[in-house]
Order: sequence, then structure tokens, then C-alpha cells
Amino acid sequence: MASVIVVDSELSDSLKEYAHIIDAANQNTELSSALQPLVTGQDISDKQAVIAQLYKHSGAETLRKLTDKEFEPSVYLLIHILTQLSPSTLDDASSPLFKIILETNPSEQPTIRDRKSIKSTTVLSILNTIFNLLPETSKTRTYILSQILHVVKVSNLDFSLIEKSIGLRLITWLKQSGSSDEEIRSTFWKFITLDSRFSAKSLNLIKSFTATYPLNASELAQLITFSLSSDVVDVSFLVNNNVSNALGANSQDKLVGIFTKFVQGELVQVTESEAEGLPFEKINAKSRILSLAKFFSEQSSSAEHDSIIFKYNEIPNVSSTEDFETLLVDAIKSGVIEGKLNQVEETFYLTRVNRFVLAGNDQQNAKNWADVRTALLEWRNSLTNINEIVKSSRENIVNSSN
Amino acid sequence: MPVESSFMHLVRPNVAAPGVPSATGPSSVKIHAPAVFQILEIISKQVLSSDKRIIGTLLGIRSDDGSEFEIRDAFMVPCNETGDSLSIEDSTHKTLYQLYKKAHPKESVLGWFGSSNQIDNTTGLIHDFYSKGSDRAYPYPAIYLNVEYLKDGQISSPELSVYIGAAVGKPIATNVPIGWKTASTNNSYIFTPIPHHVINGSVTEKIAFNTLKEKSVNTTSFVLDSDYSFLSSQLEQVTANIDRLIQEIDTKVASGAASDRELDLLRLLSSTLLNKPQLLTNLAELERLFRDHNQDVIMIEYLTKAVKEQIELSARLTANAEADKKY
Repeated sequence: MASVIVVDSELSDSLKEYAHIIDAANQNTELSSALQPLVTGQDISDKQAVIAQLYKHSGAETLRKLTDKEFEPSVYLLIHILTQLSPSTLDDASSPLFKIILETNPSEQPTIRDRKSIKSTTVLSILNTIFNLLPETSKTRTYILSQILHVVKVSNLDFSLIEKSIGLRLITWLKQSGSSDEEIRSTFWKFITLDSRFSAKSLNLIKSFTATYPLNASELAQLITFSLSSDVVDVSFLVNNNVSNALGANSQDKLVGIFTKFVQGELVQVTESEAEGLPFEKINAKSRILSLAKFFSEQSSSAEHDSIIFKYNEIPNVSSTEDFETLLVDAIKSGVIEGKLNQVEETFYLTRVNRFVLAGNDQQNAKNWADVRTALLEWRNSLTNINEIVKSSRENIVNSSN
Repeated sequence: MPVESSFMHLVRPNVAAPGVPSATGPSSVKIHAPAVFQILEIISKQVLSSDKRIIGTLLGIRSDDGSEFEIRDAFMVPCNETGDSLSIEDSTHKTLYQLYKKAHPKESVLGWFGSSNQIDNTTGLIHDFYSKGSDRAYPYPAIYLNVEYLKDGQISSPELSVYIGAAVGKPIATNVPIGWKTASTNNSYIFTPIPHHVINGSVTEKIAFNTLKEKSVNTTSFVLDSDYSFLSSQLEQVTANIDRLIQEIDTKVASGAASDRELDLLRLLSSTLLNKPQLLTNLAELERLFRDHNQDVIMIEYLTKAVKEQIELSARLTANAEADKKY
């Protein structure tokens, strides 16, 4: 069950109550006297005339006079009255009701002094409730969703407010409401661009989205800009089959070239002019970490090199001991590399390093599968040994206690 | 375990409760597993014997801003529904609550639970009862937990949903002369769903819950065995998992092109596994690293202790200095 309105009074009483609220805000009796001839006792003769009067007197100007605490219940009462008079009011994107609500959204954040004025979050809450009042298959749900995104955008609301609650279900909702693939794609990217912090959660949302929907050139550019601006260092997990196809189709593009190199762990040096508004210093720093990870993963799997112990002087692209140590600490912080540093002997013990597994790189992936298989077999054998030791020592303890 | 839902919840709606400021963020409800069992027991026992509305009080704690709820316990309150009228045994609620309050002084009434298949005027009435008056949720908003237990007269898997009652119309009547029927008696609400999840309060609860879940579902009876060779069983489980993985990999590699899911698996496995297993086979290296690790832990513990002692010392010195000042 989604939202349900329960009002324990007759429609005419609700109308009186609403007229009271509006007249109190306007400090006159216009709406009450306009409704009086239309409502006789419990009967409402001309429903359309009542609706017209309600819209006429409930402009955004009037509603703004209400305090934040009064505004939301009043709008709910208006919704209740309108749906009683004409049941299809909510399920109509062109309804004047939505216009009124959206116009009431404050264009500026209220200052700390006016605690009573209407907040954007209240407008969001109303849109949220309308969304829940609508049936799942209603097309108007798509409209409400886009308006919610619009309110978040213009009012500079924190993205975390909608990240989890909308992000996880956006596609399901849009599909249920019968949106076309084109609409779903444009709404999703609109939603993602609202995240000004480029969080890891949004990257995961992009990943699961691109797994089902292919990308065109502009969407790919958005994905690249987003992932390169993010604090997350290793974004190679974004390259699934769809992204890989899009990368292949747009390989002439300069940005695509940079991104392809970046996710493969090649050292990228972007200059300010090339970056086109991207944080080039951040990209270069991240790329250094990835190239270090690539070095570790290649060396540790090669037959000539010891798999876990690395000496300082073997590391490429570092200028000094301090430089390497800072880079390594950054890499460990970002979660790409794990290991232990021995500063006295100037060695590094590698425990774990991210491998770049990219879609479309079949040869490399086949090798990785084989490696993983060998590792699993080894692990299995050693586990059997451990289990035997555990069992025998248990028996030893039991026998010795007898 | 979060519940998959089709509703949206961004901001807690405005409620007609004077105790909380208007919200700028979402609400959430945590239900402790014992409370769920308690509620389910009450409902499953009562619903069948008498086909009527079962209600009860939810107890627990709420955050200062009234947006986070934690349901810890519940008890039943008898009520009688005849036609449109409804009577709730107020005294039972009061007695049981005061009894509970003696044992749990920090917990209070959060709202109520019921077993209805639809929300109607009576729901509004009961919600109103719990929202107002002493020994109830007032001055905080009440929440309503609905357990759908019967579907078309048949027992079904219980579905929990939690609602908060948003205000409709004018929240508080002002300037009404004494003796007049005031607007505060109105019981108009928009029941807005809010997300909830069932949690385990402590580790022991979790172990008990998991054992019950594992052993009691789909079996008529079971005996709790006393042999808890945890390590061996875990090792066997891991070995079985590895066998399954190897089998899967063999079929994958043969089939060629990889799907996105397989790529994720490969990414996870190759990132975590490729450097590790050598340690498992190389005993000397393992021991050395283990020793080093222990040394590091001891070092950190030593430093933490030193810092802690410094802080304690400084606190004592300050207290002493304050005490000296007084004389």
C-alpha cells in the first residue's frame, strides 16, 4: 500500500476548512463568500465552478503567505478536495495543481532569520506524497520524478537526499510507468549530473545502468567526465561490455583516448588545455597510482620476479624515496593497493593489488581466468591440509583428556 | 534486511505534533527481531480465533528530531469494533505501559501496530488515539506498523509496512473559544509509507536468529546439536565453494566471451586472490608476516595506551586545579 488519505469529514466541511485557511492568509473572506452560493448544505451543484474558484484563490502568491508548518497540510487538504471533486486531478501532468506547487518553491534558500517561510524540502515532500498517491503504472509519475530532480537542481539541495531513495529504484519506477528507453536514459543522466561530489555510489549506479542500456557518444562523454572527476581512483569496473563497445565506436575522440589509457593503467599526463574543464591535476595524480598498480600486478605475476617483495629502486616513474612513499600511501588510501612498507630495508610487501579487468580484452581475460583457476586450486589444497590438521589436533585433545 | 518497496521516501512529511521541528531529511524505522516475533505471535494467535481488528502498542526509542525510530517491544491492547464505532481499552494500555516503563525507563510509546488489509477511517481514529493524550506518543508523531497476515481469509507470508501520519488541513486550531468543538479533534491524516528494516540488536540475538532461520524453515521439528566444530564446518564450506567456483570457471573459459556478471566475478577474484595464496603455501613467510603484524598491533596498542594515559592525567590535573580554585 502506498500513501492513503484519510479524512473523517464531509467534503463541504473540508471546503469550509480550506476556505478558512486561505482567507486567514489573505485576511479577507473572498474564497468563503465565493464558495457559499456553490455549496448548499452537503450538496455541491457545480463541481467545475468550485474547482475554478479553488484554483483562482490558491495561487502561489497566496500559498507563500502560509508558514512552512501550515503549507504542507493545506496543500494536502487541497489535493483531497480536488480528488474528491474530480478523481483524475492528480493523474494529469498538465493540472494547474502542479504548477502552483512548483511555483511556491522558494527560489532562494530561506535565511536563518525567517524560520517560518516555506522550505524546498517541504515542496519535495509534497511531490513525494503525490508520487506515492499515484498508481505505479501512471505516466504522471515520470513527470513528478523529473520535477523532483528539477527542484533539487534549482534549490541546490544535497544530492545525498535523493541518492539512495531515488537512485536504486529510478529505473524500475520509470519502467513501471511505461516510459520509453529514450526517456529512461535521459532521466537517468539528468539524475546523475546532479551529483556534484561524484561519489562512488553514483559510479555504481552508472555501472548497473550501463549494463542494461547501451551508450551514445554524449552519454559516454558524460560517463568519462564523471568518472575522471570522481575521487574514486580505479574506475576500470565501469568498463563493461556496453561501455567497451561505446569506447570502441568513439575511439577517435580525444577524451575517449585519455580514458582508455587511464583505465588500462597507462601513465596519463593531461595538460590544462587538453583537460577541457576537467580537474587535470587530480587525473594526473590518479593516473600515477593506477600505473603503479599496473606495475605491481604485472611484475607479481611474471615468472622472473618475486611475487610479493619489491625494492624501492625497481619502481618506475618516481623521483625519490619520499616521492614513492607518498604515492604508495595515496594508493593504499584509495584502496587500489594493499601491503606493508619496510622503510629500513626499503622494501614493500605487496598483499593485494587491483587488476584491471576490462570488457573486450578477451585474451588478457582468458589468461586471468587461468591464473585465478590455478590460485583457487592451490588454495583448495592448502585448505584440505589445514582441515586435516584441525581435525587431528581436535582428536588429540579429546584423546589426551580421556 | 532492507525491504524492496515501490514507494518513494525523500523527506519526512509535516506532522501535526508539536514536539518535533519540520523535517529536512528522511525518516527510518528499525525493528528489532524480538519485537517482530512478539507482534507476529500476537497477530497470528488472535486473528484466526476472532476475525476482528487486532491492535497493540509499539515501544522503543526515537531520535531527538523524531525522524529515527527503533521498535524494541510491543504489547497487545484489546479493542472492540462495532460498525463505525470503536472502543480501545485505554486502561489496559496504561497499566501495561507503566509496567514496561518501570523496567525500561528510557523507552516510550512510538505508535501502534495493526493487522488490517486496508487503511480507512477507523485507522485514522486509532492513529489519533495514539497521537494525542498522555502515556502515548504525544508530543511526538505516532507511527503505524501494519502487518498483512490474512489475504482473502487465507494465511499468507506476513508483510510489514510502516506509515507516518502526515497532517491534512489546519494542524492546530487557534483562537477557538472555550467549550467549542475545536479542530484538534479532527483525525485527518495522509498515511505516508516510510522505509523500515528488521535488525538484530546483539550478536547473540543474531546467532540465535540465524540458527532458527536455518533449522526451522520447512522442517517440522529439529534438534539443536551440541557439536559446534565451527572451524571444520567453515573450512568444509569454503572448500565446497571453491569447488563450485572452479567448476564454473571451467565452463566459462570454454564458452569464450564474458558477460558483465562474469567480468565482475573475474575482477573480484583476480584482485583478491592472485597475490594471496602463496602465503598459504609458504609457511615460513606466513609466520614471519604474522610476527610482524603482531608487532605492529602491539606498537599501536602501546601508543593508544600512552595517549589515553596522557588524556586521563590531564583530566585529573584539570579537576584538581578546579578543586584547588574553590578553596
